[in-house]
Amino acid sequence: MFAYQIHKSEEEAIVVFEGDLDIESGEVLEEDILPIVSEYPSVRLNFGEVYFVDSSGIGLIIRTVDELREGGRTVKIENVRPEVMEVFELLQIREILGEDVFE
Amino acid sequence: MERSIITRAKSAEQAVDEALKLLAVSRESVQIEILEPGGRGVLGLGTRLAVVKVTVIDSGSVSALQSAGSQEITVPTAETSHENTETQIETLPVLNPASEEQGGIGIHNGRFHIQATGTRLPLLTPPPGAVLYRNGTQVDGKVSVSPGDELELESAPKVEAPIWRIEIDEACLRAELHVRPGFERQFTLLDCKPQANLVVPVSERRTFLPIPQAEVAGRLKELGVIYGVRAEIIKQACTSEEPGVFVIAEGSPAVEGANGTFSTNFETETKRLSPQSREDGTIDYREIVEFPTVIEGQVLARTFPARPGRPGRDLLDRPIQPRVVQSIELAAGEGVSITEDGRRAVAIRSGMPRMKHQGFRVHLSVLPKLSHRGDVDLKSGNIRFRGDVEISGGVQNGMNVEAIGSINIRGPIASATIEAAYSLIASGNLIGAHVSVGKRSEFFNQVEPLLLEIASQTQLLQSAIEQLGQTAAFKLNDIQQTGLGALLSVLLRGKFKALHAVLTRFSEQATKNEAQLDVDWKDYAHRLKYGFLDLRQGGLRDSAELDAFRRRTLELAESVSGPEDRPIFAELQYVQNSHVYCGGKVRAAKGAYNATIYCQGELEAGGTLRGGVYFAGRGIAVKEVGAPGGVATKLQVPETAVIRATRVMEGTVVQIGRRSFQFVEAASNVHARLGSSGELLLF
Repeated sequence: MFAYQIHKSEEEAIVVFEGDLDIESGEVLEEDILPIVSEYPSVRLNFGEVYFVDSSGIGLIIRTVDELREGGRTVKIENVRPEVMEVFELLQIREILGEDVFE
Repeated sequence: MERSIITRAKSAEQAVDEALKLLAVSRESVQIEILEPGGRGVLGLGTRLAVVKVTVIDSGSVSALQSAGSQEITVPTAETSHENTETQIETLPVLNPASEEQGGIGIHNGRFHIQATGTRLPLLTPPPGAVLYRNGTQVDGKVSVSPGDELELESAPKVEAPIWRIEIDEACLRAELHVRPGFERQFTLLDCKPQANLVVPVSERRTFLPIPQAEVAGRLKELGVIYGVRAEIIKQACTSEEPGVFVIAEGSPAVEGANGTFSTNFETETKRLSPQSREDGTIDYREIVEFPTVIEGQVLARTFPARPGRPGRDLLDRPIQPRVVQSIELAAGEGVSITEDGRRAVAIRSGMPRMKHQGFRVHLSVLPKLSHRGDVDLKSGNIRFRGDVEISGGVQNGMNVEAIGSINIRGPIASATIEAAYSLIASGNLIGAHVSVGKRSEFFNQVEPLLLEIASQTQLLQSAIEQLGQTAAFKLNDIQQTGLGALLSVLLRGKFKALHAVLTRFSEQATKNEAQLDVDWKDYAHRLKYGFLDLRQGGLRDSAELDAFRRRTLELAESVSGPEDRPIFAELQYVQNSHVYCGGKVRAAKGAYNATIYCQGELEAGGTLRGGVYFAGRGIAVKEVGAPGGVATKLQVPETAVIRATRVMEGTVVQIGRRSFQFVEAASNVHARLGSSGELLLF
C-alpha cells in the first residue's frame, strides 16, 4: 500500500510518503514522484507515515537523493520514525548520504 | 525475674557445666547452689547424681537465691533413626517447694488446671513449635494466667507441605525433580504437676507427607514431557524423606556419524634409485631420480562413504538431529575421470599426478610429461609446458624453459632461463643460467591476505544482514525476488566500504594475473565480481550463497598457504656465474663459482664455493668455501640456522642473522651459529 502527497511552493516541493517504501512502491517513486519534484530547487521527503522499508526501497531512496543532488537540488529527509531510523542506522545511511540530508 | 536451672550429672562440676551451657552464660554471671553433692550413696550403696541449681545473676537484682520459678532439664537422648517417623520431645517438670504463694498451672489428663492461691499469678510459656491459645487468642511468649482463663493447645496438625519442582535442561534431555519432603507435626499435651512458671510440655508426632505422584506426573504432562519418563524414579523421589534431586525423565541424545574419507594410490614424492648399470656395462653412480608418475587407467583415489548419525529423541518426543555428515567430493581436472558413482578417480593418461585437497573437495589431475630430444635451442624454440619436462640435451643461450611441474635437463645449461614449479634436476653444469624453482607467484603472495580479509568481512556482513532482518521495520521479502544485490549495494557503500575495497583489489589482481589462474581461481574471481561488484545481474541471490562464498574463500586461502603437494628442490652439479632461486632445498654437488644462490631450504654443496653470495633459510653445509687471496664469498643464514664448512679460506664472510664475521685466515671445521645470548660462535 503506497500513496503520496506533494505540496508545492515556489522554492520547495514536499513529498509526504504514506505507506511502505519497498520494491512495489519503488516504481511509483521513480516514475511518478521524481519527475515532478526534480524541477524544484529544494525537496523535502517526509517519512512520517513510512513504517516499513526493504532493501529495494532503501536503494531507491539513496538513488533518488543522489540524483536530485546531482541536479543541483538540496534534499532533506525528515520525520523518520524510530523503527525505520533503526534500519537507517544499521545501514549507515546517514554516513552514505551525509548528515546534512537529515538536518 | 532471674533465670535458673537445676541440673543433674555424675559430678557437681559436670552439672554446673551443663547448666552453663543450657543458660548460655559464663561462670562469672551465675550463682551456684549445690543441692546434692553426689558421690557414693549412704551406706556405700550405689552412686547418687549430683544436683546443682545455677541462677543467672541480673545486675541490680536483689535476691539471687530467691527463684520465682525453675526448670529442671535432663539432657535428652534423642532417637535419630530415619525409619522412625515419630519423635518425642518431653519436658519433665518438678515442683518448686517455694511456690505455694504463687499458685501454679498443671496439666492433668490433657487439660490445664490453674490454681492461683497467692498474690502472684502463675506464668505460662508456650511450647516451641506448637500453637497455644488463651481465651481464643494465640499466646506469644511468656504470659501470666488467671484461674478463669481458657487454655487450649492447637490440636490440628501443623502441615509443612512438601516442596518440589521440575527442571528441564536446555537440551531437553533431562528432567530433574527437586524435592524437599514435607511433614505433618501434631502436638499433644503431657500431664504434669502444677508449676508457678510452666513451659507447656508437649509431645510431638511427626508424620512424613509423601508427594502425590499423580501431581508430578500431571506436571510432566503439562510440560509436554512424554518420552523417557522413569516412573520408578518418580516414586523414589516422592517417597524420599530427604531432600534431593532425582532424574525422572531422560531423552536419548543423537548418535553422531562420521564424515567420509578417501585414500590415494600414487606417490607424490620423487623417488631416488641407487646406482644402475648402464647399457655398456659400466655403473652409473649418479643417482637416478624418478618423478612421480601414474599410468593410464590407474585408480588415483577412492572415497569411503560418510556414515550418517542416528537421530535421538528429546523429552518432548521430538527428534534430535545428529550433525550433518559430509562426503568427500572427487573433482576431475585434466587427465582424470571420475567413476559414475563418484567414488573413484582414474587417470585417463599417463603423466604427473597432481592433487589439491581442500576441505571435502579433492581435485585430481594428471599433467602430461614432455620428453624433449636434444637441446633446447633456437631451432626447437622455448618450452612452456603444464607438466613435467625432460630434456635429453642442454639448454642454449637465451632460451626459456618453463614448466608447471618438474624439469630434468641432462645437458649443460647456458645463459638461459629455467623456471620450474616444483623441482629441477640438472645433470650438466650451469653457466650463466638464471634458475627459479618453486617460486610462488606474486599473485598468491598478494592474494592470501586479501582472501582472509574477505572471509572475515563477509562473516560480519552475514551478521549485519541477519541483524537487519530482525529489526521491526525491515522487510526481507524482496530478496526472494531480486536477490541480495540492492542490499549489498547499500552495505558495500556504507557500513562495509572496507570490504568493497578489498574485493576490488582482489578483482584487479585476478585480472592482472589471469593467465596464471586455473579454473578454480577463475571461477572464484567471477563469482566475486558478479556477486558483489558488478550487480547488474542481481548479485548473490541469498544468504546461503553468501555463506557458500565465504567458505569457498577460506578454502582457497587455505590452498595457498597449505603445504605444497610436492617437494620443492634443485639438484645441480656445478654452478657458475648463475643466479639460482629455490623455494626449497638446493644441492650443488660440484660446488659453485661466483654464483648467487638463494634458497628457502638447506644449501648443500660439494666441491668449493668460490666467490658469490649464498643464502639458505635452513642452513648451509659445504665442503670448501672461499679462495686464497681471491674473490669474496659470503655465506648467510637466518639467526636460527647454522653454517657448517669443512674448510674456510680467508676473506670468507659468514653471517648468522645480523651477526657477521670475516675470516682473516683459513679455518677448518667451522660450525657457525648464534649462542644463547645472540653472540656469534664459530666452532
